[in-house]
Amino acid sequence: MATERIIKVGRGETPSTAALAHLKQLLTSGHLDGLMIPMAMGGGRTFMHVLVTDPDALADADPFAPVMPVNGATSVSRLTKLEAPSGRIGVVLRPCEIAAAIELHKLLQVRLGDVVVIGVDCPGTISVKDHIDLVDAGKDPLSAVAEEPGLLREACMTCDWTRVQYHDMLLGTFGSDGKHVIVVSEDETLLGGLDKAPKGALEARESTIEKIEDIREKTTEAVEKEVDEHLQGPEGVAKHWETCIVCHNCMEQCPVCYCNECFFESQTFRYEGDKMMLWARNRGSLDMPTDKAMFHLGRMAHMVATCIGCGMCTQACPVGINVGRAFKYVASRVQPVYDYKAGRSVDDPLPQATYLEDELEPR
Amino acid sequence: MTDKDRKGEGKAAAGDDFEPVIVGFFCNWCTASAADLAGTSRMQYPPNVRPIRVMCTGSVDTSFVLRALLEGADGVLVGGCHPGDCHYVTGNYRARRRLTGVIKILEALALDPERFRFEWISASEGAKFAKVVTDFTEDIKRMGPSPLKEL
Ligand code: SF4
Ligand code: SF4
Ligand code: FES
Repeated sequence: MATERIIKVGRGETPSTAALAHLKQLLTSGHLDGLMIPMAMGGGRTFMHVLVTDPDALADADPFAPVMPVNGATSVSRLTKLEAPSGRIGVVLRPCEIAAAIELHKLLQVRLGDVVVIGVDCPGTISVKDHIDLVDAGKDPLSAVAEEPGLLREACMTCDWTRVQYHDMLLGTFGSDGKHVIVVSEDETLLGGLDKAPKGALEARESTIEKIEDIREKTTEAVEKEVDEHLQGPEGVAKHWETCIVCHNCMEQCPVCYCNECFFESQTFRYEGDKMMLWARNRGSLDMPTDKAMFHLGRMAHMVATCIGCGMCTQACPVGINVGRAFKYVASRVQPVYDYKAGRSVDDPLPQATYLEDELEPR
Repeated sequence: MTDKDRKGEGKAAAGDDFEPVIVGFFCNWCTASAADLAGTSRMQYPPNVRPIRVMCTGSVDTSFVLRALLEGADGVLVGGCHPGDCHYVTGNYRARRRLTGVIKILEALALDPERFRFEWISASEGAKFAKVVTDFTEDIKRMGPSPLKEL
């Protein structure tokens, strides 16, 4: 049975520092042997996950940092794939990072059972570039977003993961007005010393979640309408990726694109000069580097059933292509065919790893 | 095929003289034999299919279908063993799942999903093979040259 506790945010504290104090206590007391948590880099210009074992090294950590340079599931995979680390490692993850970790778990790239997943309520993140620009301009990213919610990444404004879907311990901030952090866990050792959560706190969180879900659903509809109008047909697709430099960065930063040897980086796509001349003659010209559409549509065909919509692809694109918009749109049309929602549950079998005799066409 | 032939195919316009290029991925154990049977039984069907023999539809990666469409095919036809008859037991069921994904992607982005077809054709179904190829070729002819090869 999950128990709900509360961390009060005291005078001079923020939800971040209050929650951090609890996490630090878990590390100090030995209930956790390590903690993978977002840590300020360059004086807070950005935050990156750091694996911390020394409680004193937590000073610049922030479990609620409003920026996600790398989807943390990638790091959880690095941490657990070859061999599980000994000891109990807490990993602080947002819901879309948990979603990616769930997919990677099913793809045998992550062992979720070998880490303690500390899920956090996520009001959204700013792109790394915007975050750095804000800090460099002397602004506080959190207040900037409060003033201008449009600063959030599109993936966040259309996020499907308002409700943390899997965790060993939850740090809930929704509906708290910055006055407390709700902690939920079935594991008493992670709750040590905390007061029971008052009933109203849980209800306030619940109703805030519903409100945010509503807003995000409406934004999703608006974005889908844009896609319906502009990202359709060969011309629409070509136009969307018009400025692509075929750097494959969107794939590199995709947490669920895990293949060590990506097909699209293989020798299959290295050609003799004459072959390219042949294609150039057939069409009158040949785009270089070649295989731009092949890369994007092919990658889509390979992974869109496991796309969890975190938008790391968009953030990673050096020429500002909204890759995630296209992938998320297609994912929401492909996954329902398999009755699947990537990132929802470790118990839903991977669509490509299973089948029913009586389904789909032809029969 | 010489460069010249290919050029003619690639540039042909819709109309009576448009001869589509259709790439067929045919399972060795069924559809490929059905094609032979149709031939040896002297059944008539259009010569537009360029057959590629695969050991099982389960080995047809989604990217193969897309690559054919992006690199010049006007249509792609996959033919495999009927449910329950796959020589690797579940290859065709898995292929159906995966390849349905391709159709859904093409549908979602309005990229002519009708240019891809998946059929069960057993080794004894020479007549079905001839009919599927005839119908598909006619459909593709009506649609005209694929705009996907310009992508
Ligand atoms: S996609 Fe959702 S969970 Fe991920 S950073 Fe954005 S709001 Fe948070
Ligand atoms: S990151 Fe952007 S430029 Fe690079 S391959 Fe992806 S879409 Fe193209
Ligand atoms: S052996 Fe024919 S489809 Fe698998």
